[in-house]
Amino acid sequence: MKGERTGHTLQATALVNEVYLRLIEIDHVQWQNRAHFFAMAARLMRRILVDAARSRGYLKRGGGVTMVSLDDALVVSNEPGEDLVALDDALTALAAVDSRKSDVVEMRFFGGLTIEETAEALDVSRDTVKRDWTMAKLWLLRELRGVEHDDV
Amino acid sequence: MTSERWRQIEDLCHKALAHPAEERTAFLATACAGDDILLREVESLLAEESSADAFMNVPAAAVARWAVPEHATGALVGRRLGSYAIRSLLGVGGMGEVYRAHDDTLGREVAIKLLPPAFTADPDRRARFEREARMLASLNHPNICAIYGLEEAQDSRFLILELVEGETLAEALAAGSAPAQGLPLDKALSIARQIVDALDTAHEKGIVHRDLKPANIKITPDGIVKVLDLGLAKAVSADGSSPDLTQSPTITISGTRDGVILGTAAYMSPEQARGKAVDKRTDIWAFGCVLYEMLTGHVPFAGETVSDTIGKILEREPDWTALPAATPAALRRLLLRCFVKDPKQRLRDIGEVGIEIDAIHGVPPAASHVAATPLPQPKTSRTWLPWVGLAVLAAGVAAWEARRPAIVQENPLANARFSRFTDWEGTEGGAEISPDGKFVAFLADRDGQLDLWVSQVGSGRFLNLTGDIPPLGGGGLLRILGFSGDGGEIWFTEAGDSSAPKWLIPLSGGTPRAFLGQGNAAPSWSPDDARLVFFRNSDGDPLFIADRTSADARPIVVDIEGFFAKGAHSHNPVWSPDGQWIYFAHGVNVEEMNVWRVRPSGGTPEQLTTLRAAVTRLAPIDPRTLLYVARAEDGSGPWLWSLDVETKVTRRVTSGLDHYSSVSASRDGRRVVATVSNRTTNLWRVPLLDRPAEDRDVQPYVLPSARALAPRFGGTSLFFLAAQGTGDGLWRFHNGNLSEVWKAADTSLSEPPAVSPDGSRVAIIVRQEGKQQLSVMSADGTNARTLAASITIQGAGKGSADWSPDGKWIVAAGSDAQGSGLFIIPVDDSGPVRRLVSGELVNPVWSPNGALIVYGGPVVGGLIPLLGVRPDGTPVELPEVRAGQRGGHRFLPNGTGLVYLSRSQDFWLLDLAAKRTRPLIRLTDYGTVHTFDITPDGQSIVFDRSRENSDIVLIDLPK
Repeated sequence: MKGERTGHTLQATALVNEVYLRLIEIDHVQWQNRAHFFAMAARLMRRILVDAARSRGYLKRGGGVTMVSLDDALVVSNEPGEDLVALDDALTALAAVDSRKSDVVEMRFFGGLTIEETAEALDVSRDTVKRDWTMAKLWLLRELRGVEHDDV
Repeated sequence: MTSERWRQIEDLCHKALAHPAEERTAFLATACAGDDILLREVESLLAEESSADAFMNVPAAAVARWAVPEHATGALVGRRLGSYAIRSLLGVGGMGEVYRAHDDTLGREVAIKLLPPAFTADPDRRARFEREARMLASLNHPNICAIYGLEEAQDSRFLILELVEGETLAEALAAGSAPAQGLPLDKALSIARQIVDALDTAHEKGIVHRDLKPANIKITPDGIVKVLDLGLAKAVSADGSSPDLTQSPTITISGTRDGVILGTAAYMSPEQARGKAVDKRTDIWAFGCVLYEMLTGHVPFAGETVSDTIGKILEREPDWTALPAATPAALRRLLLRCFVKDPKQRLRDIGEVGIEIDAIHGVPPAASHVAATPLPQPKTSRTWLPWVGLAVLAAGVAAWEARRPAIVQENPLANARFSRFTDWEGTEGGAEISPDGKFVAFLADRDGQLDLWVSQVGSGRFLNLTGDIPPLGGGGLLRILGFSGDGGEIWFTEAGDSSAPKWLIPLSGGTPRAFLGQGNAAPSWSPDDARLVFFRNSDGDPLFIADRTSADARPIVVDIEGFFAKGAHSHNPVWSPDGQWIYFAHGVNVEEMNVWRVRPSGGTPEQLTTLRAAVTRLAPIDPRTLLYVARAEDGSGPWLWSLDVETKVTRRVTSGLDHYSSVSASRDGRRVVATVSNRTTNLWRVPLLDRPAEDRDVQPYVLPSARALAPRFGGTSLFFLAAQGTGDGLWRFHNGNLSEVWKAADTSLSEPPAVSPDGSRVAIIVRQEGKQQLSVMSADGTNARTLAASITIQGAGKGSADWSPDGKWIVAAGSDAQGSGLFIIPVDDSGPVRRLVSGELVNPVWSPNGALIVYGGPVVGGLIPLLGVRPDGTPVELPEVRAGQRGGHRFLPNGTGLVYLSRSQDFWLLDLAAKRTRPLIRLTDYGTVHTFDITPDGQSIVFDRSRENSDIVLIDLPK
């Protein structure tokens, strides 16, 4: 977020604090290690963002997925909530196919972890994380685009 | 879809991606081999490749503007919240925005901290927060930012806080020059002291900050420190074991790297990072971080990423070398104790930190350290009364206080009465008190030799019990005399050697009788006088229990395998006053001992201190408290310490520069007797004359230093060892200016340095990682590096290394994997280290023409034969000369002779051409010479001399 407008940083601070407050609410949890801690933080971040997006009415319309301007939307849109709700659903679907890839996305995208940190958290190699990340993006993009594909 | 199928798809995707785009179709057609469904699946995924790069390439939080509270940052400025007029945005802190506001009702300026909407929405969270806020509002201290109340208006909940003007410590640290330098020591200590006061007050009430960091510490323009943001602290439960604790501190954002969401957690304690329960010791860790940052300008545990940082917190030590050279050793030690990873071993009481800082800062214990009068504390009742049961709170605090163990260890000697028991010239020592506290026995040289003396307290009469037997000798580390269990006899050792035969002599004098047998040492009788504990001078120094007459001795069985390691020592066992424990000093060498205890029946011994210092005498004064004599880890002292055996908190109980070399307590612990000594060590100069010089020829070698020893000349500089309050470091006197070359941080130098012939470089022998190593550096202390790390240097206190006249080599006495010997070490690592001679050899010196090295051979009859060797290893026959064990030997600058110190501490000259010796100086003045050197003009000898005046002191503790 370096170089971005101050507004972003401040909001991110508030967001992180929200994650923190939720973390401290998880009483009786003993973090097994720092990787576990970050995995949990990433999951919480996902939940907070998606909850917030849903609560603002970005409900998935209709039964299908009708996304717009996906190529850049998640990156630059000021209103990416719609995309986020859809992404959350897509991610849940991905988890059913390959839960580790879903975890990688959660940590990389929602948790902001690097490849190295994700590798450590999941106890896999960096190459595995890279491959998972690539594959997950392809899969999610296809899912979000609503492309028909065979559930073989 | 089966996972098998999915793996197949994934595999093909990766393989296809590895091919150039134009080759993929062909590749896939072949690879899918007619499986059209597989082909379509893979192709549909690969079709997304062009979008994949931009997809999710910025973390979600960075673009999720809408996920934060309704109003925009700073949106409340100019508006009203209840009776508060919002003036300006102060910042965005722990939980949300903080505004400056005017309280119209009370007509004062306040700070308002908005709480996240979650607080309003969730009743459980709200209730819990209100409980916490109640506790926090009870904190009333000039160094804590006060919470006035918690209010609600226009659907927002907010805390009303004391408005603190000024900058945060984080800002103050950032304001310094780049690269960060830290604050001046005085300022850092003043700030630290006030933080300690704030934490002390919070801890007293069971409140742990949990998120102490420079951003949460404000300094008013008057210099008053205010600790902020106890807002996330939760009341720690009475027993500290409840898991209902904050699991981690506030994580603040860091803009140091794109994509970092969870910013630096640099002040987290290891237990926080692990998500374990935290208590006030977490604050002590964080305090250590803040103190370290104030001193160095850097956080102690910094990583590129959060996981990096946490990894360092969990596994690494801070960079101790980053501390400014002027950092007092006591402060370094304090930091060391704050940064113990295991909270159980960490310093556990912030109040103790305060005492240490006062000692370092030179503040008398009773003096106030708050920089100005406390600010008036506004009443909190208006906002709290509706929902605070103050009486309930008070009762709760009282109940908690009652259950809280006395954590702050009082100085057991705080109200004691000290009186001088002897004030004789010369040496008194080894004082022991009878079990009933009525008699004192000690060694003294009042009659010319060391004898055993006894005196009844208050009688003023002293009896020499051993005037007609040979002198006893000093015996520093081990007890060599004491009272029998019934107090009717005194035991002592012959010749002051702990393993020498022991004798018992009646208190009133008479004929000594043999006792205990050779090899056994330091007997101590149980409080009921039924049993005896002692140690045997053999491998592992095992402890033995015997009956009161020393019959029926059997070793205490210790059930830790290898505990009594070969070469380790267990010294000076004593009984606890209730007879339940035996305390003893244990360690691998006498300079690295700790206090341990074991049941008289044996079993698992328990380590009570983590000092690794020269622990010698132990004296329990009640079932919980032990006094003991030990050097500090920096080598200073010995001082007198106390130990609370339950909390394992230990502290130095005597201040000042007087050394304590023995301590002993009566059975009821109310009367203590100690040996106090005052040692001076200075340099002296004596000219080389045609006749033997005498005492009157000796003049002080005047240096602007209160202490100096181990002189070495090089070029136009004089190097020597000296201390400023702590262990001895290396100093340089050059052109009338004194400068510190190498500072003793947590060790003390005892060997003279080797100095290059032009005086531009020095090599010191410094203890690191448990072994003595050669460290070479420029004459100003820069460019220090370890030389010949494979060699452990032999430390004999009189010189272990010397520089070759051409400046290229150092000859040193030490040992490597092949054993002891002399080694030729290239100074610039330009070649291999060469073994010159093998054997237990000491003090090699290089002749001025470079052709001869003279060294001390193995001790023969208490004397050291001087031997010669050429640098190529050829032995050189020298006239038979035997030097004393102290002092060593040095060449005259013209190389014609060698000066050495005889056993009787007289200087002699060996004329190498004439192969004759003659006395240079005869000293009658008492004192101990450790090292000397010849001035570069060859006209004088400069030597160090220690003089000790020791006395016996009686310490009466209040009943």
